Amino acid sequence: MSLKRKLVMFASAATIAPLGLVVLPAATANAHGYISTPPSRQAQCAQGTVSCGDIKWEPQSVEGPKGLRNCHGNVGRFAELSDDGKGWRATSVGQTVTFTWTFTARHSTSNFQYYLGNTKVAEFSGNNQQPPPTLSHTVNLGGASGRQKLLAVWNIADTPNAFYACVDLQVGGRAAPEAPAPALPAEQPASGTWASGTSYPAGSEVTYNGTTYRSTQSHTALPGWEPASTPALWQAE
Amino acid sequence: MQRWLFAVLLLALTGCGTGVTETTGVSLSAPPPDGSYNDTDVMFLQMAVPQHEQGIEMARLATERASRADVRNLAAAIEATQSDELAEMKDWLVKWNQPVAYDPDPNAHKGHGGMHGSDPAVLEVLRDTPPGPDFDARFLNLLTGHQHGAVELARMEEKEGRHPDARALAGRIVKSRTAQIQQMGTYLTG
Repeated sequence: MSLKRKLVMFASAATIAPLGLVVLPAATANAHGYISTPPSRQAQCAQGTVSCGDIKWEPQSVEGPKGLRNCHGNVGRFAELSDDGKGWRATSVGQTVTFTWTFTARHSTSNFQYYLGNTKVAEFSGNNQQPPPTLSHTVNLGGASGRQKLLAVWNIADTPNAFYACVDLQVGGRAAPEAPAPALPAEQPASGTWASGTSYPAGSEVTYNGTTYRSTQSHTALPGWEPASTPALWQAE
Repeated sequence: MQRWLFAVLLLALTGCGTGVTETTGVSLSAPPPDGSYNDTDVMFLQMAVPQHEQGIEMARLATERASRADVRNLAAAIEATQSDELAEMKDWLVKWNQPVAYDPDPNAHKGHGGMHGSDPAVLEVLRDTPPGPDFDARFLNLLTGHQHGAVELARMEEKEGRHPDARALAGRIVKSRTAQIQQMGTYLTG
């Protein structure tokens, strides 16, 4: 279902319901979320650690029927999440790991389950309630060691669906070699000295497409914050 | 019965979904004769306004409370850029005679905040978090989730909107939010 269709359904539901005429189910299957730390596979896509397709835009949308044991929730366009050879960065951890979820919408929850292979290493009840905006679970890995692929499953209470996130871990022993911090995508400006990823103190001067700009406040330049279209950060000289 | 149902749908369309015609084919705000904008442009802006307002408030809290200077700098830049975008978006809605769909009641749409990209509980959590390392991690995580919502809305506008300037803004939102999410990811894990 497209976002637009969902929004339309919601818009109608929100205005009809107060009239007491129509009772619609509370959830319209727009619950969304994933594990951000340690970075799950979809988080690594969103953060540019690994180069990915559609999933980089919506790491929160790995939604499929309950009961699956893969990383992509049977969503075809996210299939690369289940590709173990893709160069996912494994985070070095001990026997106890704290997983933090990032939500874009919070709907009532049956439970959160954590699997290593076919073994369930932890389960946390959601009491059929909305989870809090920030949610962390501390999980004991039960003696596992070496490189592990952990599957986290968020089972939604009022839909047949679940959200899936795989987290690559290096348990105990030597630390996995750290991948370098992801470089911000280098957007090539048509011309000039402005460059995304550069830290500009207030008052810095850059040129961009033939115009000189002065930075109004300290910031790190990002794609989408080009001087010509961002008067909040850059004043033309 | 049909007439009664039609009336209900009409009522529905006059609220949050003003300008949305997809469910019934009834158009309450016909696109202008010159076709300069369409229903998606209006819906995008009406959804993006509260989305931006919440993002600005989250960023403002971080400029006051974050421990890390780089996080404070990012938050200040987000506050400044989104404030500009917000003014521009409201301006378009006013020019087009479309309501700026801002509901001052924070309890409106409870439980569906994610739909509009604003969720009062998220702000409450941040407001209740004192300055310290916890604040930084919480802010980065919550704003990441929030900006995913912005990307979702803006990509809808890029695909289905018509107004060139609104679509250009949506393109910049996709780029800047995606880059912010990457940067916040490095702060979270670094």
